[in-house]
Amino acid sequence: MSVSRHFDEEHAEVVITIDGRFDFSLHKLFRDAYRDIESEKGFRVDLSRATYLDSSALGMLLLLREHAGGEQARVCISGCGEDVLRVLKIANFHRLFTIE
Amino acid sequence: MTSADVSPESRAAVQSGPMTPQLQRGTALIVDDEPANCRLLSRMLAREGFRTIETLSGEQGLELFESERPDIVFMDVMMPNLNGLETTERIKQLAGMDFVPVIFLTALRDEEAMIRCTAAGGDDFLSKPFSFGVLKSRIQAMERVRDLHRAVAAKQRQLSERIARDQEEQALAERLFSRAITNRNLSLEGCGLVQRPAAIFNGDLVLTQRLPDGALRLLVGDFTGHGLAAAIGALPVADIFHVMTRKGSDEAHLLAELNRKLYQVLPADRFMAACLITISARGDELRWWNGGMPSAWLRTSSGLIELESHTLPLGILSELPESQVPSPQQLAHTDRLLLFTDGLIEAVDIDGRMFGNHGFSSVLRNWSAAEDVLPRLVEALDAHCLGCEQCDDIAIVEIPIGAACESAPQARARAPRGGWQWSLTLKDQCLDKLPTLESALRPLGLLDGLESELGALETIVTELYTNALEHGVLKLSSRMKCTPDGFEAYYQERARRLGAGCCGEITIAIAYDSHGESGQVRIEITDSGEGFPEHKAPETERDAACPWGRGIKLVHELCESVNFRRNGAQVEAIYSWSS
Repeated sequence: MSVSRHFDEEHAEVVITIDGRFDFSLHKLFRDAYRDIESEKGFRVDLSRATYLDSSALGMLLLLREHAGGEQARVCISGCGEDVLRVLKIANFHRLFTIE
Repeated sequence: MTSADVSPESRAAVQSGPMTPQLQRGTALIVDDEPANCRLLSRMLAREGFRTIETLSGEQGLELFESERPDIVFMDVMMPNLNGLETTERIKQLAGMDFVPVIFLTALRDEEAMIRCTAAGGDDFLSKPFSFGVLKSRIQAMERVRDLHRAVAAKQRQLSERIARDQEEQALAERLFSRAITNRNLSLEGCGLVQRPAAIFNGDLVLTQRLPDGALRLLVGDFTGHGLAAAIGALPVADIFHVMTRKGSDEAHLLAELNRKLYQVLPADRFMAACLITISARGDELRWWNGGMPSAWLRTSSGLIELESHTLPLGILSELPESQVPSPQQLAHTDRLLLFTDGLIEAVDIDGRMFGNHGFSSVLRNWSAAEDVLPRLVEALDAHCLGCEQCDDIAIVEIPIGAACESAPQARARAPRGGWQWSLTLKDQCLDKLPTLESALRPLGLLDGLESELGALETIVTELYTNALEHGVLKLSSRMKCTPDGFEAYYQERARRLGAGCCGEITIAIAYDSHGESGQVRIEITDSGEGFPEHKAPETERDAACPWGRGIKLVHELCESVNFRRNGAQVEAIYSWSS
């Protein structure tokens, strides 16, 4: 269970990768992954290695969206597995994020 | 310890010893069958500021340990009868959670003997003959360990007390809280409800209320996370839901208001997924809205209809996004509706598999028309979760459409023309025995035709009576409720003052008047107190999560007018309606 980040030069975005369960225990790590980055940057949350996502993770994604400029935010969520995608879909998060 | 407890020898040593130890260091027990050794060690320890007790046998050593509770023990290994090892084992048992160091005095130097001493519970060794300097340093080392142990044990005790008190407070707050929310729900005959909170406070919410035309409205909500933080948003949601539904607001207005309030009070990462259902009074139409909840299911005679989440949960955006309202479903009385929170489908079994992927779909598939599905669903869930800890709140509701509209009150056109007046005075120890209007007026036949107003009337009477009792007669100040501690203290103080034989009286007078199309109920409550400041309407809109001051605001919202007189000791509320 971990959070890591890197800069994708090609797409000019910050990629935050979640490994394992994405739940409240990652709260601090996840926030630390973006709080020192200016909000104008584009963000990508890579969930290809996330096994599970709960409603507090949805809340953390909303905090990232707020950090990245709210309505104007460029936040993309990618690599979702079936279980993770189902949770995002039920919450209708495609209205707030680009889900790839 | 008094000076009488100190043996003459050790007292002399304390006063005249060359090192002049500053303080008493507690009691040392010496167990050695060689009297000369005992005396020598005793003298050394007395010089170090110990009170000493000596004995020549293990048996007596145990007795002295129990009666004197020494702070440190010096133990010879080889003794007749009960030897040092056995005595030490027993001493350690007697000490229980307390750490009392046992130092072995031994002439043995081989490794195996030392291992046996440690296995018996010994904490250190002194090889005979020993020097005063070595003795001193070993004692100091042991005392450091003992003091550390005592400090940890004291912290541990404090912590356990805190945890126990915290749990007690949470349980109390939860009781008050859930009453504030569920008390206003309808009791629906024939409907099934299962609620399993994962923590004391529940992030799941089930609300039911009737619209003025008899339609049934149901909201199943799920706040992000669980525990107190999740539950706190439930108060404003319940207020808005009940008040707006009773007033007959449509779904769009209710949802917009819920969204606005939640957006205002919740932090950015908190929201409420919700499913809102309205079933017409005749049971022939169902309107629905699903923002972020798992699909609800409608079992009709011809098959299953999925009511899928089609929009965002409440409280995320400042305005609800435009979304197509799902088309209403036609209903028959034999249809059944099933709703649940994600705690159900995400409940994991021992291998970490979710119920939604294993077990749930077969229950759904085998759900035959008009069948009660809840028992089988719960059975399958229990079998799935066997031996696993529940990690999220679970709420499941099943509504048989027929039963939901059977209990629907008929339209208010039947409200009789004419009127009546009724009053009740409660005094002293009877003050907390306010009956519900239902129980007081129903047997008299006075509520016939007023069923759809009853919920609102109960709320008005209860809130105003509570104010008169708590602030007027008992003179409690709601400012006490500002802090979580105060909240508890307030209710403890209320119970204390009621129990202590309070004196006073409260009179409720209710007058009903109708001219057919419209009706009015006038409620007057008078208490024997001197008045109280709480009657003044709040000047600014308070934080919805504020634990007090809600009742009077609610009454204002329900009533046409509310007037306090005599500084709050008398209140008149007018509730009226027209069809």
